[in-house]
Amino acid sequence: MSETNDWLKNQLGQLKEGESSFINRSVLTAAKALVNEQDKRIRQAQDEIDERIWSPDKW
Amino acid sequence: MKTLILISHPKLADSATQEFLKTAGKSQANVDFEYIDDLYKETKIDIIQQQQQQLTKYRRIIFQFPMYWYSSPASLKQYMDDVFTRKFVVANHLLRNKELGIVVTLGDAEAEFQAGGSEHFTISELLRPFEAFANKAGMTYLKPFVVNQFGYLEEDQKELLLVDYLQYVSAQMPLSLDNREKWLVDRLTHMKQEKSAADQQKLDLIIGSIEAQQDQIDDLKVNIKMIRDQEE
Repeated sequence: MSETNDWLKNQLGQLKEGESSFINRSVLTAAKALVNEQDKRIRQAQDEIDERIWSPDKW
Repeated sequence: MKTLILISHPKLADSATQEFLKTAGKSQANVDFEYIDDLYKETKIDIIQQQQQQLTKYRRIIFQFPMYWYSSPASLKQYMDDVFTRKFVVANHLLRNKELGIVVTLGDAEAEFQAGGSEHFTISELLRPFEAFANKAGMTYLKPFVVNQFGYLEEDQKELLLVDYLQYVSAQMPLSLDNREKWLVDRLTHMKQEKSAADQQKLDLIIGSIEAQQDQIDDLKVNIKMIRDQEE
């Protein structure tokens, strides 16, 4: 989990705590889920690049 | 893009799910609701032309209803039979290139709607007549949005359901990560209007970071494609 991701989730959490509207709270929860998904995709993409570059076939 | 949600529900006032979806939908710009059962309290002849005219103004049309005996309640069928005349749909092609979405609510678990499940048939199979209609009308049929066992959802599941529903009715299709990100950034930007200066600043930083992460994903995708294309 990246530092940006932790920071983002923390900020979204803080905003949600001060939020009374259910709709806005939902949007903030969904934004948190999106941030997690982005983080996962970035990690997986970087892993894929590493694997493909370091493939034994190319040694 | 404008969306019209046509709701068919004989006991609308008693439905917590419909109330939830209605409250959610009303928070979204460019989304309008029409209650079919209310329309039929008026004289039937009057509504046909008025409804046909109204439908042409929208890019996305959604049928929203509880599943009654594996179909919609009777009022939606009545509406389709009355309003979707041959002239309107087939001769004049007035629904062509629009999107048709289905929001269906179930009392039973969605997981049972498959081969081997207690309901045996899939939601896609059961909703086939709507898909056939979309095909005939030249509309793009969207993947149905299924809400099942709303009463059993936890608070955070309801929050995510609300956003999924709003994206289904108003975001650019398909609901890819990219399109969902754009929609969320738009809503977060909209949220700023009602916030203090400090929270606005916070939201600006959040939006900037989300957009930067999305750019990073797009760049990585380009790189991966390039590497894959060079492989045998």
